[in-house]
Amino acid sequence: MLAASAALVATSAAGASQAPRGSAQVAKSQQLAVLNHDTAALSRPQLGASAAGEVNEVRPITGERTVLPVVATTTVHGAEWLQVLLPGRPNSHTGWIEASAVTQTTTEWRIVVDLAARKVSVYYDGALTRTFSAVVGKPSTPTPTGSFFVEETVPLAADIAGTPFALALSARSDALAEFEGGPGQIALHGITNIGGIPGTAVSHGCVRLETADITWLGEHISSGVPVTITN
Amino acid sequence: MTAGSLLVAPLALSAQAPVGLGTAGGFAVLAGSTVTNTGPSVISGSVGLAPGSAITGFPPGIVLNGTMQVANGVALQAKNDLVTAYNDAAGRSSTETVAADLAGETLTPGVYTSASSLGLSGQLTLDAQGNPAAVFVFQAGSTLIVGSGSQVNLIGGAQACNVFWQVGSSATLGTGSAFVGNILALTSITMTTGATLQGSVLARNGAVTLDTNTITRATCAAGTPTTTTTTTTTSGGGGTTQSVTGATGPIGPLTHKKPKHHKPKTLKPATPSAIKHPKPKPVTPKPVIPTKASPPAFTG
Repeated sequence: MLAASAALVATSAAGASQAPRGSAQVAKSQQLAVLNHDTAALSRPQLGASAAGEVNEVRPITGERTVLPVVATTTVHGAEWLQVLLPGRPNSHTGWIEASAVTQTTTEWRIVVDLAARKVSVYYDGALTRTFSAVVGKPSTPTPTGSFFVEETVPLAADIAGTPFALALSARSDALAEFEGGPGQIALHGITNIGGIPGTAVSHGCVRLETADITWLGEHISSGVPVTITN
Repeated sequence: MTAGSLLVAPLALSAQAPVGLGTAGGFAVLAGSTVTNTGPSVISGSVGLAPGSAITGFPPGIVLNGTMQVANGVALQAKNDLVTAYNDAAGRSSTETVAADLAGETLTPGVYTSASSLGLSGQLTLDAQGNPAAVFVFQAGSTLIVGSGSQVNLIGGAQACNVFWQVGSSATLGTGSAFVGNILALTSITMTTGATLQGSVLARNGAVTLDTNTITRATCAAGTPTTTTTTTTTSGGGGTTQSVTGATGPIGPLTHKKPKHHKPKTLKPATPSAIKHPKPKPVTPKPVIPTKASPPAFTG
């Protein structure tokens, strides 16, 4: 049970779940937690609570520090706790970590993927800055919906499918438990070496974009940026 | 109506324009010779270097909301713009000569000058007096030395984006200090352990040296004045009582064939173990995933 004095404060990430479409309101900034070491995310803001997930200090592909969006904060017995979005299954799950385990910062970037419109919209400081047409998941392997984030931005060599960048998301496929040894991780990546026509739904769940578009994203979007995927 | 009510209030606010940073304004860190980081620094804003090319310490440092620009046209342009900005700040007419130590001062907008060094051994308050566009320029003839634990507070709507420190030689931010503003130094800038900055470190000719710092590039908010803002150090490292490993497993080869259909898996509960403190890591550039050796397997 939480201390009676604990006050839960929702952060701007709560807005991420309110799927913006068209002229929808988008939060101007997002609080982020950069992990300082491996840590356990707990089901409640209390030492000894059951684990909600386990998070390494660094991401597995690039080795960059793990950055998690903060969805709420609270103080328990004088200690600040952060409720963060976690990577992996179940999709969009959250956990509590102590603020002392992280460095806090913010981002003004936010991405919204509209599966029905098959478009990717990019916001900065609450304003729409770019919209890209995209390939999304086909009906048998749909792109999952929910509140996610960019786990890491991965530069890809020229002969890799999806080059030149993949924005690896915290989302995992609801249809594929694994994919060629991988965990069914969803990414925004290019169409090079894999194909697809933007505006169609033919992928295994990833979101594919034209080379110029994914290049722009790869050069602007870093870890922790919230990604909302809506139907 | 009395005669007194017709009087215009004395002009209390500065008419200074902000120092135009040009393309350097997109950088949280910009240097001429090297950028060296130690520890888990978090940089919000781009990191640039020119003409030097040695940026080390990322990771464990991380750059968010920006990119690395090393010895390229973008970095060179930013450096050129920094020279212009530096000369602009250095050339402004002083409104007041200040003591070498700014601790305990509450200053209104203006251009503050010290012919030699400037320092801060405690708390400095900058009061914009309700004008969020108010500009503060500090001119140090030689060094800027910020003592351990010192801090700058912004009140009256003052914004970090409108604070500029023109430093004639080099600047040092002490351990755990919480500083505000864009530091434009002729030579080098050093942030010691745990120092935080709401602004940018822009070194024309020399190095920027970081150690477990948080730097957030300052952007100006349009419109309403803020109340009181105090920068704080949130960097941790003290650890929790629990730590576990093995979150997201390594991702296998990237192919787009033979999808396997869903097999629900049970997540393992976390196992408490010893605290894992940050450990030194060799400096490696962000890898480009090579050819088909072991690329990541996204679902495609």
